[in-house]
Amino acid sequence: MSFLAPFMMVAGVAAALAVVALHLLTTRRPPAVMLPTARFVPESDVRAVARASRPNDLLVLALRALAVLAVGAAFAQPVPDAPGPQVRTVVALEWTTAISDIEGARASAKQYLARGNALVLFDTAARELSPSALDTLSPPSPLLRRAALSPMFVRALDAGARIARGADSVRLVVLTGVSANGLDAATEPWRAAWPGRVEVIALDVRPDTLAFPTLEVTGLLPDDPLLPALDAVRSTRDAPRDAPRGNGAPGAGGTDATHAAYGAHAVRLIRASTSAADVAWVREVPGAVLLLWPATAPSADSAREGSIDPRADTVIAAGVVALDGGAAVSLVAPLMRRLVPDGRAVARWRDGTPAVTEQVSGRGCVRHVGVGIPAAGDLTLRPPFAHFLDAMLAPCGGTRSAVLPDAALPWLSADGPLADGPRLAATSATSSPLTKWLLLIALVMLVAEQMARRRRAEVA
Amino acid sequence: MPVGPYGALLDAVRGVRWPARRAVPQGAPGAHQARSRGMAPEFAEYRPYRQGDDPKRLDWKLLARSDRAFIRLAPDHATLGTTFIVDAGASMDFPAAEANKWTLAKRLTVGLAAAAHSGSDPVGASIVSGFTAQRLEARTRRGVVGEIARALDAVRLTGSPALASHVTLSAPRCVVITDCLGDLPELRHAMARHVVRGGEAYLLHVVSRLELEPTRGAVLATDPRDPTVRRSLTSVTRDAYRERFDAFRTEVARSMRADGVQVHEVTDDAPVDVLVRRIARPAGSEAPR
Repeated sequence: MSFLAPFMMVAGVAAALAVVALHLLTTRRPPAVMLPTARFVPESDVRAVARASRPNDLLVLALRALAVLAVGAAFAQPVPDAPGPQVRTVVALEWTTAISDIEGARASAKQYLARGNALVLFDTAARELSPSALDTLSPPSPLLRRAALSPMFVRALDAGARIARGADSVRLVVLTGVSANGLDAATEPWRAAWPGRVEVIALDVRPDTLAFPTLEVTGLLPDDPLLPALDAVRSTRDAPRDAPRGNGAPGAGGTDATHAAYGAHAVRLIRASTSAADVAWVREVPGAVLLLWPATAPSADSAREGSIDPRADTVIAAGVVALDGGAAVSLVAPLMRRLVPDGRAVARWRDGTPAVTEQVSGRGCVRHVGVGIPAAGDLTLRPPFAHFLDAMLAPCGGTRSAVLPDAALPWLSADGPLADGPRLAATSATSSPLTKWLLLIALVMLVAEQMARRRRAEVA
Repeated sequence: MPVGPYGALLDAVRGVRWPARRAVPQGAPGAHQARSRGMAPEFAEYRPYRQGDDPKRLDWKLLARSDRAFIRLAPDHATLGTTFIVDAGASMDFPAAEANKWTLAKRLTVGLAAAAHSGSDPVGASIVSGFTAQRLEARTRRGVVGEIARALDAVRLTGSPALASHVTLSAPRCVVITDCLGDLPELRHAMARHVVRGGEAYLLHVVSRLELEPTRGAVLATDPRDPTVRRSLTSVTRDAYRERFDAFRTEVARSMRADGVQVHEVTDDAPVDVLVRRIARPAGSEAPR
């Protein structure tokens, strides 16, 4: 048992002692004695402060003292100690598809987990799980490819504060493949908030390909505004590529062998309607991206059907599209806003509504692009659009940069003592579950004290 | 004489005489100088013969020498009756210990009665409590001191007695033993009248040491004569109490002495035989106050 505010317990004990002292110094009628010359005593209040050598009304005294102690204990917020060894561990495990050996990572994490330890799973978000849930944990979603350390530290601090009660020290073991885009401006301050060293266990990460993805294009119009951009992208890469197939028929796209050879992922860009073959393809090919980017201008029927964003019933003159991952790309053009289904937002409009979303579909993902490209103009020839197109052709879950070496992050796993348990426990903002019961006990004591005083007065 | 617990006191005051402070009225022959002149052998003075005088009292030798008729006078002595008026009120039973104001009053009464009786003076007592008064007429017979002692031992201390009326019925020497907490104004007037009538009046103001120095600590002081009087005696009120009580005692002594009353303040921790000797000391031999 420990206290979140131990000084309040000290104050409660001091108050109880004061109650006992005041019980000995009470204003009461002093004992009556016969004094023939009493008439010469000046008239005054017949009550006087009398000091008793031994406390009377022990029941009342006990009830008062207990009530004060209960209030002091309630404000001190007693918290039961968490069971476990003196040195406890918070295991933070990256749970993304970027981990090449997910079962190996699971086994590595298990060897650190014991009774009293905590498990934190993280990708771009973090959550705490029961260590026993690790065995039955399903593989990560294809959309979970990137990992961020900031939310991991936030959740690890909470978990550490929870298990630190009753422990001498707490260690933090992070199993991850640290990439550059897993860090942000908040990572270093949150790392500094952990009061001890961090043990980073590097996991093997499946690297993103630097090669151009295996791309199939369906329904591309002869004067499609995307053509120049696609040609520009292709011209900058030496990787083999597939020619666009016309009329929406499935072409002889890249094979699995091709993917293995270049480490590339398959992207099928649909500018027309989606076929059943496309859906089957994305569900079967690992890491396949089905990019739904309608090319036709919205018809009156589509507007009636609600596929056009009602807030953009007219073509907007300029739009800003922010890409997932923080890299903002501004596309200044009369873009057409289309509604996209719910899913992980890959890009957003200036007002925060999703512009591009992606959803898991089988072993791949479907990416819906709600950014209508104007038929006229040089938007697709400008560098911002090239960045935008790169993001659209990225693997499921977005791109993941290369693993950073340990030397690049000296502040992350610097040597030092383990986190001090009491200090870590003090950072917890959790309230004591016993507080309300202690206050209730204090209330009961005070009521009983009133009843005892009333009964004593009746007897007197 | 069965004197019980007073034996040691009577032994201590044996031989003590209590002379009158001035010439006493003519009466039975006694130890006190009387105002009248008698026919004792010792010569005092001559007085011219007046018609009606007994011719036997003429100094015939002087008549033969000077042809003048004188009566030969001698000093006369008489007894002085003494009445003790003892306050047996509830306030005299203080403190609750054995040596309290009432014990002192009893021992003073017996000691002074013995001193008076040793001079062949008649002694009596009026023991006045709240509801009863026991009156013993002044007598000279043997055993009267023992009667007084037994009467004192048998009395029960109650109430707030009125002493003034008993002064009127007193013998020429009236000794009031009281704590002055009763009918003090009436008592003062009665004693003043007694003095004016030629009597001697003594006021023995009995005070307890605990009344002079009350116990420390806060107490609710209750008057035994009047239980409705309840005052809180604390460290705050103690000094004021002392001042008031001192002023009261001083005023009692001053006013009584102004009326010709012999006033002695006696405390319950003083040796009684010493007090008896001091009170019975002849006039003019008092130590400077």
